[in-house]
Amino acid sequence: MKTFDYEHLEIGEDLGTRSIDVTDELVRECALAIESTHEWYLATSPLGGRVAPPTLLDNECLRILDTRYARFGSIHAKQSWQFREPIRVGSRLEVNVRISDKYIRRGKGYFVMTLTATDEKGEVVCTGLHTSVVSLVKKPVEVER
Amino acid sequence: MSGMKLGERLEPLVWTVTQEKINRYSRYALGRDTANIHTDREKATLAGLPGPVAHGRHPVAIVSESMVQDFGAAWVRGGELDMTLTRLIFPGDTLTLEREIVGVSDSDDEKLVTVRITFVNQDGQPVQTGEARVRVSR
Repeated sequence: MKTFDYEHLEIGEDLGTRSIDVTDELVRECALAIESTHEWYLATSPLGGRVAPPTLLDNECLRILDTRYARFGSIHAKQSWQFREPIRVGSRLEVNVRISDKYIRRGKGYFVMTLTATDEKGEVVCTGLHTSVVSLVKKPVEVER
Repeated sequence: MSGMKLGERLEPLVWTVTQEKINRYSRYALGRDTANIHTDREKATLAGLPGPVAHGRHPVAIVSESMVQDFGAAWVRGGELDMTLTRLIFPGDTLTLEREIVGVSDSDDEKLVTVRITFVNQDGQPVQTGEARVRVSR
């Protein structure tokens, strides 16, 4: 695992890609977590069947980041979404996350992750930008044993 | 759907944050029950926080859901959201979501509607602010 501090985060780094099956269970859990009983998520929609809440993938940036960096919590500063197509129940998505920027503002370090989710046809269903605060203090490199 | 007029205020939403809601979101977010800064006082204190705090993306999802309610398919297929998370949110907070249409631009077949988003706490302090954009067929 890489050390999680400003210096070690690399702009352009591909943090990885994860396949996600948009199952009935996942969509119900998401709807419950965000207190929605919208029929589009639980029954059907005019979009061609059941769909997921557009923010279904809002945990994926940190989940994928945590496969590479030894992070102990972080403060979320900004979140952007561009929803392009409905996320359909039963579909399989490929979700890629990259570190797209890092910067220092008012003495604080920030880094930006870009998420891109594509469906089975390779079409982008949504993109997201997740900006978090990261420590400017260089941490000792952890030695793998 | 709203009348989409400049200056129109969309239906406000009051959202009470409870530890139970935070725990439920955390369970969904992390895929399991864990002790973390959102669910556990000791972990939060260790991180320098006064107590457990809500996940920042939890209210962002609530904002998105309000847009689904008002704009339907136009939001799901083409909505854009930019949110800045300005203050921590704690269990017991009562947040009010305020949304105002601040831009309407017409083209031949659609309107681009820009909505200013403000989530304020019970003390009137903004905890999240931002902008949503949605293209609506004429």
